[in-house]
Amino acid sequence: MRLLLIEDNERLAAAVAEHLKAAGFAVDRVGLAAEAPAALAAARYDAVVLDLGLPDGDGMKILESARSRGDGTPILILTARDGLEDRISGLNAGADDYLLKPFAMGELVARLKALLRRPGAALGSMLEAGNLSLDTVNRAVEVAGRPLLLGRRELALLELLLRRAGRVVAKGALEEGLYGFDEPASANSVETQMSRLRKKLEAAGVTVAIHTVRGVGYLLTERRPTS
Amino acid sequence: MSGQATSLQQRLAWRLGLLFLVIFIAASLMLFFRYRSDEDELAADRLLQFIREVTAGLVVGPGGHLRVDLPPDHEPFEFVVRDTNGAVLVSSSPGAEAHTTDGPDAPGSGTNGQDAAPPQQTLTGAFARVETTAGPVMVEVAEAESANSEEMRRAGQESLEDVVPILVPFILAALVIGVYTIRKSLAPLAAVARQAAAITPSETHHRLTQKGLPRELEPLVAAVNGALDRLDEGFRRQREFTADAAHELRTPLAILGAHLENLGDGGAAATLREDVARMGRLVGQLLSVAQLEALAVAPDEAADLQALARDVAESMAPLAVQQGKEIAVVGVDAPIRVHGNGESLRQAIRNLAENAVQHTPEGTSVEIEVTAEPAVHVRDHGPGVPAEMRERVTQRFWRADRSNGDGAGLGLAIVKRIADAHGGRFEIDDAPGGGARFTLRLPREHGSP
Repeated sequence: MRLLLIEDNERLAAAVAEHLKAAGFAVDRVGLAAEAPAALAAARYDAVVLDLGLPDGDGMKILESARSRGDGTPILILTARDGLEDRISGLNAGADDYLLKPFAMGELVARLKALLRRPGAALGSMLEAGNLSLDTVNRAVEVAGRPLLLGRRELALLELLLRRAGRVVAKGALEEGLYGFDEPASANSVETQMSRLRKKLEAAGVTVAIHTVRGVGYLLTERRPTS
Repeated sequence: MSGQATSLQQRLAWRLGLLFLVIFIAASLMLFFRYRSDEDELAADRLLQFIREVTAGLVVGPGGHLRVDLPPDHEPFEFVVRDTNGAVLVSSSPGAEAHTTDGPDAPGSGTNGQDAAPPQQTLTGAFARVETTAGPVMVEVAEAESANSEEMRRAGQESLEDVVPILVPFILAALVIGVYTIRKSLAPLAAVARQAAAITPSETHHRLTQKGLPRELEPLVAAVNGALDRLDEGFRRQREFTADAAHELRTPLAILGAHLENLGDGGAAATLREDVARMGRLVGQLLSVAQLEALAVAPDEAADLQALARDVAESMAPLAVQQGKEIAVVGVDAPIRVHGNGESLRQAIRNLAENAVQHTPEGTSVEIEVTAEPAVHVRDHGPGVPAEMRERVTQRFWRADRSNGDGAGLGLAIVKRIADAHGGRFEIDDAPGGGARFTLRLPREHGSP
């Protein structure tokens, strides 16, 4: 996985790059807005981490010009601005995610992985969490290398949860994911499917857990090693 | 302000009253004296009349004795008739000669100066030399004793009778008009005072209206507005400074955090990472406070509390799960519309949820309940907030346990501020079954039932 980090603060860039490398990414760094187009043209990046406050120009311009060229590379914005308008304009201009300084490195890595798992992105075909992996092309699930048989609806739910691992997936989004299946509504309910999915995963000894956030949705996380 | 406050109305009323009193007295005196001079002429005529009456009534009796026969209904007056030597021949009453003073000595009296009696100064009168069959005599007449004071009284009364019906209604009308004009002109001041009273550090953009004010008051209002402009500018700079400082702190904090994370999971690094996270939250809260100072909810702003609560639970859930806790949205599953600013309400609910997740013990859950009131309740299963501390926890930088602080000192103060800016209420009480319950009550969306 190759990332471009556009960040003018040398010390922050070095620390972030070091951490991303440790997390398994290859990282290229530029410190000026002027250098960004050349870097983006020179190599194919799987994702861009962009600081909005650059000394020679607004990072937002880089974002806009990349999007206007039809460059769909996932872009995650880093910023010290946290006004609602900044966030909205960043996302409207085509940013895929938004992280406010100061941020935890774990959060940055998790967000990047989530971006890379999106359909069409680098990790689009293979979703992994803990000892669980889901091949979205072949519709196959493995737990610790052993195949696990899941129903189509269970697999659809698991895919939605894995694509946003570590974050809550709204119940409405899961319902929409199941909508196309030609099943009676009761058997098709998210609760029913989720309960079956959990049982099968538990039985297979997965190291992930699906948490219910009552009134909101579901959340898939890796189990804490201690518990 | 110095000295005692004075009322413009009162002052005007007093001064106009005084002025009218002076005019009243002056006019009365003027009329009084005019009547007096008229009276003098009349009195002179009367005296001549008296002389004619006495003269006509003079009868020389047998032996040369004089007597005076007056008409029975004559006006009361005194007279004395003397011979050319000044000896009294006949008089209206025994003391009458005392009244007719100037007779013998007055110019034209025609006396020969042989009268030894000293002239007596009493009342004004008149005299005349009259030829009778018994020789020339002096007829002296004077007003009856009571007539002079009667004349004064009449002059005073007549002048008052003329002045009072004109002046008194005029004075009353002028007073009423003066007081009414002042009251009417100053009425807009009450509205201006209400506007001024509504100005708080978070609403420094308001200005006093000059519409409808008398021109004399415009400089004052303009000066106050000018002062407000400068204060507003000062407040704005203060807010900007806080916001800028918070922004500037973020990058160094991010660097610090990144280095700490690269140190691995050693004991010290983990603690320091928590510290940095805490500082990061505090910086965020400082920024929020700076932004909230300027928060003004537009009349047409509306938000859905239910959606906001779900949003907050969604973003807080990973943290809660990581700490072995749960977060849930309970209650009605329908939009609850309120009049308010969505972003700041989200922040208020988020602060409440963060606070609750922090205080609820592992293995328990935090519940966010949205009710149709409309209100949001956030409850935890922690130790609760003792009644005597409830007021204090909404004050800035105050924390229940400073030794175990996590930088959330501003969280509840921010919620209070947001509630105030919305005209809502923020309450803390005990949840049924233990734990704390935080309630944010908000006004309904305009136009909704």
